[in-house]
Amino acid sequence: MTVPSSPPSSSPLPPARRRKRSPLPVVLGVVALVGLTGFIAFGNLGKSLEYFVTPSEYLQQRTELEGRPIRIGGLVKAVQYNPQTLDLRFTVSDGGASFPVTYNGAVSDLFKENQGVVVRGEFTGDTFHARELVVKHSEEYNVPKTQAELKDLLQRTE
Amino acid sequence: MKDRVTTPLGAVTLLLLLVAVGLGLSSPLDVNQGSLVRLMFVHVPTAWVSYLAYGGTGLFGLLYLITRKRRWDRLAMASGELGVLFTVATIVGGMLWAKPTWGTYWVWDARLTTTALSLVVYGGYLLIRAMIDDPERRARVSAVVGIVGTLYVPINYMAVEWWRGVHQTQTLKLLGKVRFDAAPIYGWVLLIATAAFTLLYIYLLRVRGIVAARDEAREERELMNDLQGDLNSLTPQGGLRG
Amino acid sequence: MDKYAVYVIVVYVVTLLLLGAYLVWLAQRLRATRNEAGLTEQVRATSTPGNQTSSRQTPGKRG
Repeated sequence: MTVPSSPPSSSPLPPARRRKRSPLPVVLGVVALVGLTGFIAFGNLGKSLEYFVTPSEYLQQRTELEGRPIRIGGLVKAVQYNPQTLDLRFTVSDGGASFPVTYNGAVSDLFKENQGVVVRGEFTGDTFHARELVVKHSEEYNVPKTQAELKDLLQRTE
Repeated sequence: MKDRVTTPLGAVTLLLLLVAVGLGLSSPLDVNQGSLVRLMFVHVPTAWVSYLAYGGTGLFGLLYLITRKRRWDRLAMASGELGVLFTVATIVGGMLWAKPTWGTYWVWDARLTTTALSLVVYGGYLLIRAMIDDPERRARVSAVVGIVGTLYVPINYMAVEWWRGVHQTQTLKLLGKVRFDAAPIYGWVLLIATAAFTLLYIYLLRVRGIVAARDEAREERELMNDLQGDLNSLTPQGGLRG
Repeated sequence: MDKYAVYVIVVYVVTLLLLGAYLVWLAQRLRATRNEAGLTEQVRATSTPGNQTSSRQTPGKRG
């Protein structure tokens, strides 16, 4: 309201003016924002901003982390994949420590030897049972340098 | 006053966008990702514009606080709205890029989480504006929110460096020695696409600013009509101040 | 062309449609408010000089 307080006058003050507008958009907006905030909070519940631990860190903090659902991130080694049953076995390694991982399900085309990967699941003994698998890829993008590379690329992604 | 800028600007923007899309969709395949690398030429420019727009909200808010000219407040609002729009575009495009590469639409890593948070911050910014009726107070409060909100830009940019996550780090390294870690052709396409989207931001900001100015004019007119009605009924001699 | 070529085009289209939808919304608002400037001037002209001064002074007083 741009109307300043009226000068003292004998006549009654005009009623405070409100813009006649439906409050519905604002109410919907508040609900949407609260919902989104809740969703974000729920998504991060009990997790730190660090998205995963490395195999070496797991070795160090084993007593704390054992038996709890966690994320492990590292490089993929020794892949064994059965396309029929979708059973996947590999080793996740950060150079220092490595653990065998089992997973069942389809994975991204980018999943391959030496690729970065983040798996979520639990340890049973020394074996990590992953329920979620996310492939981390490099920020470097390059065109194939040789004809052989190009052919390989087209074959792989057909 | 005739507007001689908006339409030509729109035409140039459209032309450059078409060129960028054409170049993006015909760029060579990446060794690892194949044609999916082409999504970079939409994802990165939309993310850039969202930074630019949120930065604009802070800058215009600051200019408003200094000059107290309502024009800056309108531009700050327009820029905030564009920031939300381009953040949504970045998230949608990013999710569709993540599915075939990462293997999932969404992960709660630091980059993605802070991006989602920006929708809360700037959604809140727009909501606060809708809730305050007094235009001067609205402009003041939202300028402060807009300036503080600008913190989002460096936090989101650095999120991939500060915290471990799934999102790739910057391909164009600006920290330390400047370096572009991709084939040079991708750099050129990215540059043109970024220029095109920046023009699109400027164009949309201009048009949104015009709409906002007209909305404000209408608001003022309605208020004046109301005032006149009041004055006629209250003080027949006329004049609010003696 | 690899298997994602069409997918990539779809994502381009989705993104551009989103931005295009905003532009269409803007164009509609622009058309709906085309007469605004003229209307405002009209009101200013019909209001008495005294009223005009008081309402114009208002922002300065609150700053």
